[in-house]
Formats: sequence, C-alpha cells, structure tokens
Amino acid sequence: MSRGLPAVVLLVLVAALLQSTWVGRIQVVGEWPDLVLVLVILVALQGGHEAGAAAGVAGGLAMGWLTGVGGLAFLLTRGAVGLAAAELRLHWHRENLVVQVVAVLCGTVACELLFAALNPSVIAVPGWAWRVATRALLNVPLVPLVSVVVSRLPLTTESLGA
Amino acid sequence: MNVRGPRSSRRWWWFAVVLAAFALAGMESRPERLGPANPAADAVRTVGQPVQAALSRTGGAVAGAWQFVTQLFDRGRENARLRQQVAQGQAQTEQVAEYQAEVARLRALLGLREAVTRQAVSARVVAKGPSPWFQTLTVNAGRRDRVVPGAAVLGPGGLIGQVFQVSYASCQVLCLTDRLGSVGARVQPERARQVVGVAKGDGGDLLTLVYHNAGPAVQMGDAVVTSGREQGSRFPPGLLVGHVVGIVRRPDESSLTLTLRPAAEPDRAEEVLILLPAPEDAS
Repeated sequence: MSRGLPAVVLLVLVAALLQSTWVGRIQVVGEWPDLVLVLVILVALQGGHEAGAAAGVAGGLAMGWLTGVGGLAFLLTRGAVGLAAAELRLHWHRENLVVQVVAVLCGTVACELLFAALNPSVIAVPGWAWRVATRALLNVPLVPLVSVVVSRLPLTTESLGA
Repeated sequence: MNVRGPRSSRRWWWFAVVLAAFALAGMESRPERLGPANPAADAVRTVGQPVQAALSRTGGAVAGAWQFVTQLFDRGRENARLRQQVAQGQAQTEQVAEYQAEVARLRALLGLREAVTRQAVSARVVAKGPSPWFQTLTVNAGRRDRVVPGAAVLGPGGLIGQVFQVSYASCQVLCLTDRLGSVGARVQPERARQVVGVAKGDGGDLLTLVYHNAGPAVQMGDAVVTSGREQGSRFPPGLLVGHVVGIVRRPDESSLTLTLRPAAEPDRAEEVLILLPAPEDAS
C-alpha cells in the first residue's frame, strides 16, 4: 500500500463531513458543489489508479453513510470516476489547471450520468439536466483550492512506481 | 516505470478492499426498509456525529452570511408574501379561538379525557445529505433517546419527514420532498375532507397528491394534513403537511392532482421534533 493512501482516505472523509455540514449550505440557485467528487478527481489525476480508486471508494462509502441511502451507487460512481480520471493522467499534463478544470467538468457530468443510469428515477427529479450542469459549473471554483491541498499529499512519486 | 502493474499480492489486497467496500455499501438499508443502521455505518456516524455537530454549529454563521447575501434579491417578494401570511394568520387566529372554545364544550359534553399527546424528542439537525438526489437529514438523536425507525419528524411549520435509519447517537431522516418520501394525507377543510391520498415528493421542492375520484371543492391554499390511515402508520393524524398551490383536474373528472408546498422546509430546519411511538405502538 502506498504511503499516501491513508492520507487520501482521511482527507476524503474530512471532505465528506465538510460536504454534509458546510458546503451543502452554501447554495447558488439551489445547488451546491460536490467537494468529495472534486477531491476524488484531483487525487486520481495526481496519484494514479491506486490513489484514485482509494479516494473513489472512500468517497462513495462516506457519501452513502452520510446520506443513509444509495451506498452502492455512490461507491460505483465515485470509484469509476476515480479510475477514469487516473486514466487521463497518463495522457494529459496533470498539473495544468485547465486540464484539471476540464477533468472536473467532464467527471462531474459522467458521474451524474452514471448515477442516473444506476438510479433511473433521478432523471424524473424536476430540472435534472439543469441541476447536473449547475453542479458541474459550481465544482470549478473549488479546483484551485483542492488542487493545492492534493499537491501536498505524498502521492506522485510512489504511485508512478519510481 | 510501471504505472499499472500491481503485483499479485497487491491485486488480491485491492480485491479484498473493493469486496469489503461493496459489502459495506450493500448493507446500507433502503429508506423503504426501515431499520437500524448497519454496524459499520452506525460506528462511523456515532464517531462522526460530534464532529458534524461542531462543524454544523461553526458553519451556521458562514451559511447564515451566505444566505443573507443570496436572499437579499428575494427580500421584496418575501416581504409581500409574509405580509399576506400575517393577514391570513390574524384571521385564522380568530377562527382558532372559536374552534378551541367549541372543542372544549364538546369534550365536556362527551366526557372525553384530554387527548393523550405523544412524547417527543427535540433534536438538532447536524448535517444534510451530501447528495442533491436524496433529501435526507442527520439529526443528533438516536437509539439512546428511544428514537425508532419510522418515527414522524416535525420541523418549524409542520411535518418534515420520517426517520428511516437509527444509530446510537443519531438518526437519518428521509424528507417528504425526497422522491422516495410519502405520507398518507387529506385535505383539512370540511368541504373537501374526503380528498384522501398519498402525498409524494418528487425530489424537488413540492409534493403531489392524486385523488382518484371526482374532485370536490378543493381550493388553492387549502391545508393538507396527515390522515394517519395507512396500515401501521406512525404518523398521527392531523400533522400539517403543506398547502395546495396547484390543482389539475382530468377532463373526464376521474382524478384530481394537487400540488402542495410543504409546510416545513428541510433546508431551513435547524431543530426538529421527533415523535416517539405511542404506548400501544411500542408494546
């Protein structure tokens, strides 16, 4: 196990607690950003498959426990997005802010689409598409801040197998 | 450099972790299956609840400031609405005084005892569900406070939802407005009292109640309360669910769809009241 993984898991759990207490209260047009998802994507971009999967699994479990329902769907969506973002890392320059923003935008939409595929009734929620788009946009301002935090994690060297 | 070539032992380690995660996530009960939280979730919530409570308290100021800024734009409209509500409230207060006097007279006449009021636990909302697709709340009362799955939860204004998972020191509340939330309800005014149905959430801000019959004289603004009629219901009758804000009649008069604005807004609830089961339910 990489040295940075426990730190990743701990960070994701803290993010989930913040998501349920602070972030969820800061609403813009009735929506709020998804700190946990942003963290999963950026950890995967920085740390690779292992770190991405660990962050995704921890994030999914935490979201399920804090919501009290939908545990499997959260686990699958966050885990899948973590692995997919790690795949991007191989092709793109992971420290480029534009890449990170694009990854977060695409990751959020992909995550919500996958979640809707697992829970089709979600699509019937009024304004589903609008809400998904709004959430993706609201995640963008978190990217620089979360990126700074993630860059301080001892991930990169070990996950690259150097 | 080998980016994705984990060794066999590492692969097994990951397999075990993912399997355990799936098992833990799969143990999460669904809201329609009321019950205790799974042991892992119970432990996490019990440990995390004080942290959530502390974060929630400190976050209150930040959220309050944020809400103030965002609501500045809505203040004018809200003031007009509140003035209208005050006027309505004054008229209703006079009516209520009349009704109270009437009830007292009738009770005395029938020799009825005072209605047994249910015991309730007051609790603080320490967190809201982190996902927008499930409208749930975490409140700081659990098994230690005798909270049971299925208990009705009241917020400022009326019914908020139902407890669906109970941990030692906290419980999860499924809001009525969630797409999985529902409650047996009826229109309160006497002229439309036979309109009974299930008020369901749609994941947005409103509820829908469908009445499969020719619609009696339901009017906009009519109050809708719990009917307490469902099998095994833990909702006592008469709890305010919401008010009618939309009425759609099928052209053939075979059904009536009411849109309700919930009496209590889960997003604004800071404290809630959890109704404990009546003695006959508990036994």
